[in-house]
Amino acid sequence: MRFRATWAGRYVHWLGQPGLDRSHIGGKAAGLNALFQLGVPVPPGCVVDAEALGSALATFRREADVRTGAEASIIGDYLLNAPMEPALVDELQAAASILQADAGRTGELPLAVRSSALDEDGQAFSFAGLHDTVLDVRTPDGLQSAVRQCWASGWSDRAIAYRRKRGGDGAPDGIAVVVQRMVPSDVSFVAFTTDPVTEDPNRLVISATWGLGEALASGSVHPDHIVVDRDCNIIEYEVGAKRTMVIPGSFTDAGVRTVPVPRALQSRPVLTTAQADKIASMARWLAARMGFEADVEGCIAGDDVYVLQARPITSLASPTRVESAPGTRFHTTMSTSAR
Amino acid sequence: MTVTDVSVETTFPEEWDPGDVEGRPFSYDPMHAPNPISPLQASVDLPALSYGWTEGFRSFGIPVRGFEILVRNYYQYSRSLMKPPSKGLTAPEEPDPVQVNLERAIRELPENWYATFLPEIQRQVAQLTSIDLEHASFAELPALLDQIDEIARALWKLHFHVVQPMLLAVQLFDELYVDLFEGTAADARELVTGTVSESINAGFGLSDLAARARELHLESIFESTPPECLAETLGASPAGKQFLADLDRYLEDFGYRQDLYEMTSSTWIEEPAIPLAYVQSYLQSGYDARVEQANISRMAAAKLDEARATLATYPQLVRDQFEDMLQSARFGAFLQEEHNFHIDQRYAARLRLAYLGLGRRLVTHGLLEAPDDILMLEADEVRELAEVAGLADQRDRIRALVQRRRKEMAIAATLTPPPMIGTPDGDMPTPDNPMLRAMHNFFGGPPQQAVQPDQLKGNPGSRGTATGVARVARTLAEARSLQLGEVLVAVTTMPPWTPLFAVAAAIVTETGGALSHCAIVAREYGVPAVVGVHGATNAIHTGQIITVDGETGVVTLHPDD
Repeated sequence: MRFRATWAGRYVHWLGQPGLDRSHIGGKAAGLNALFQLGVPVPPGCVVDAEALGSALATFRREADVRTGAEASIIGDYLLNAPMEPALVDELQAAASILQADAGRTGELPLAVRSSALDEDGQAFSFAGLHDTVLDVRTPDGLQSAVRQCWASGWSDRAIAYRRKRGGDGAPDGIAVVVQRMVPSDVSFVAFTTDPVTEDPNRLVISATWGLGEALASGSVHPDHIVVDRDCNIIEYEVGAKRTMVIPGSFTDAGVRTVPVPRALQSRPVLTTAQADKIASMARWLAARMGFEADVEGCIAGDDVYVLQARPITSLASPTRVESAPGTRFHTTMSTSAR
Repeated sequence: MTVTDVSVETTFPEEWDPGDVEGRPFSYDPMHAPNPISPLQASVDLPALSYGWTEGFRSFGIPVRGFEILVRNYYQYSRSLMKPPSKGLTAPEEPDPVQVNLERAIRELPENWYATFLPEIQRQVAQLTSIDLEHASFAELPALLDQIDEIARALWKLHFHVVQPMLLAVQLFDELYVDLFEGTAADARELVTGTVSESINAGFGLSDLAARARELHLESIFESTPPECLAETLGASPAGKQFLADLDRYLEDFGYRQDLYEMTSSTWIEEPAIPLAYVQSYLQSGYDARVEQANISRMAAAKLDEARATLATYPQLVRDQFEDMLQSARFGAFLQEEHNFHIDQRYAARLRLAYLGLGRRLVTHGLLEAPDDILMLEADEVRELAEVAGLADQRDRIRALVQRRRKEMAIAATLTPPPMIGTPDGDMPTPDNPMLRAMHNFFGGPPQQAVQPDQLKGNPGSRGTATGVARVARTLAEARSLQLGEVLVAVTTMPPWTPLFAVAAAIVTETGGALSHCAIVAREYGVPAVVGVHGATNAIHTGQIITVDGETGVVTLHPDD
């Protein structure tokens, strides 16, 4: 899925190019852009910059004469329903047709549409789950509604309340929207380059489960828990009881769904030793390049491992700087036998 | 059953309860042995069956102590005995070695079947066929009887080596399907239909014979002649002779089968009226087995496409597992008919024919009145006769013995054997594993209670609903009069009955579960079936209108007008 688009629009920009600024494309998109530039396998995609939302809001203000933030629900409703600027419609259509160029087994390649708020710095505050993400988007109409939904989620009661706590009137500074090819993942994982509980840097901790990563984010499954030491030995492997998994919709119905995991697979380890090794190496390499202990979200589809997001571990008491000396190995006194 | 002293008056029937037997109770198995069994069957076949069962189970590491068979009032009762679980030997995290062995056996089953098992089965059956007890010298007889015993043991061992992974494969796929789609196991079973086993080929052959009869313009003869007289009538015309030559070729392939696996049950070779009756009803209905099978196969393929489309967005591992288990289950369903054809049917038929040869010889020596009198003797008695080469002074004793046992068997046929004899099971915890669930789905479980008083409840066997006139049949000969559109009601329908499924509107049996032969073949024929309806042949009478719902497993009896 390595891929670079040269096409650029007024609002839509391809990820992986220099000159895309966080103040236009938001924290999440900026993070992805950085990953792209590091050469990490990230699903191809583009970002609808915050000016697109700005333009929609300007129209809204002209038409409705309502101050920003005062009538949050009115703004939300407006963003969900008002006609989209024709230039943006065209650009989204073009982006979708590029991302969906080689149809996979579902016929229409599904897209993942994620909010990327400008005030989400991606480090000090975790915005996880605050704004909407729409998965398994397949049609141009679906893409437009997904973008609207991401915009409107900036004015949800929850988002407003969260921002008010941090000071201000609760309105977002701006919201960009990431549109990526959705990887039909067989396995999703989150890797912490340092154990967030013991803060032992020798312990890289992976949580992994079947299907899309939403099951991990929502905590709806008891995932496999794997600990890999600095020498890439699996020192713990605890198989979780994975009763459900989140997978893309069916041929006929877009939108992810939660389905039961067959009994025979519930207690089967999600990762092979080689996969755990690959994830650990990649996460450690990333942490070293980025210069901080990282929380890396990713997935595996077929033989390929993808990174979907990488951020500093926010929960560490004393944020650890990682020396940029990849390949440094620490010896362990722990048992090296996998459980 | 030890009845050796003929001077003692018969106290038949004896008490059902064997009295002094410790341990688990013995159960009656009406699916395999609904009727009284002959002394020769009990003493020749059953010890081999018991040996083969035990060895077959042990080959997967299943801790069995044995399979005990007890014959009471000529009815076959059996129980399996397990070794007590050994404590502290295996770590709980370790995968169950039996499960591992069985799963490997499932994966290797197709290859092993064609490369090893089937050739070995065919070799054993060919050897059994070559044994000529009628013309061998008396000196050779003991060794030949030993050889028959060895063949029987080898075949039963192969049988139980095949059936475990075969049933488990179907069960595991059912369970995977239910987990994945939250559908029913019946949905899963539709996906494994459409394979052409020898049971299906036997139906094709009959359908082809009907087509041949049409081609030779024999319809009017078939229409006006009762099945028992058909062979003779056909033999009187050149066209009829041509047809009979085709029939002989058919019987060479499919004639070594009986309506039940009992040595007293005739083979089609001996009684061509059975296949001729099938041809007759196929002529009447215009049934074309190949067309019907192609339809079923197409429907299964369409269902499979649907399932695969639903799974397209699932993780690769799930799709891989689905495909693997589907292939295993398809082979399992196929093999259930296939192994039965090659082992259960051909072996049982050849065993009968081999001993009938000896029977003819003993008739020549004046010891028996009819060749099949030999079936009334026990293995040891037969050996004794063979060794002492026709002692004339044994004649009266033997004839009296045969007569008395024939009479007892006739009385036995009127008895209702209890489902269990012996000491009832205590509150033993029933272990639950896929293999036991498979066995449960094969045998069908205990009687079930219907909700409505005019209904009977059994196991869903094959989907669909049909209403028709019931035809209650205890033997295949009785079932022969089944008319197109009637509902066949029987205790059990072993594979030789299955060509009737083309004639019946629906099937009801007293025995079996969704993985039984009856249910599997009903699905291959696309005919609704409810199986394991305990007491159905008594509760339903011929001529009564009944509705069979193969989806819910309910049979509704309509009041007579």
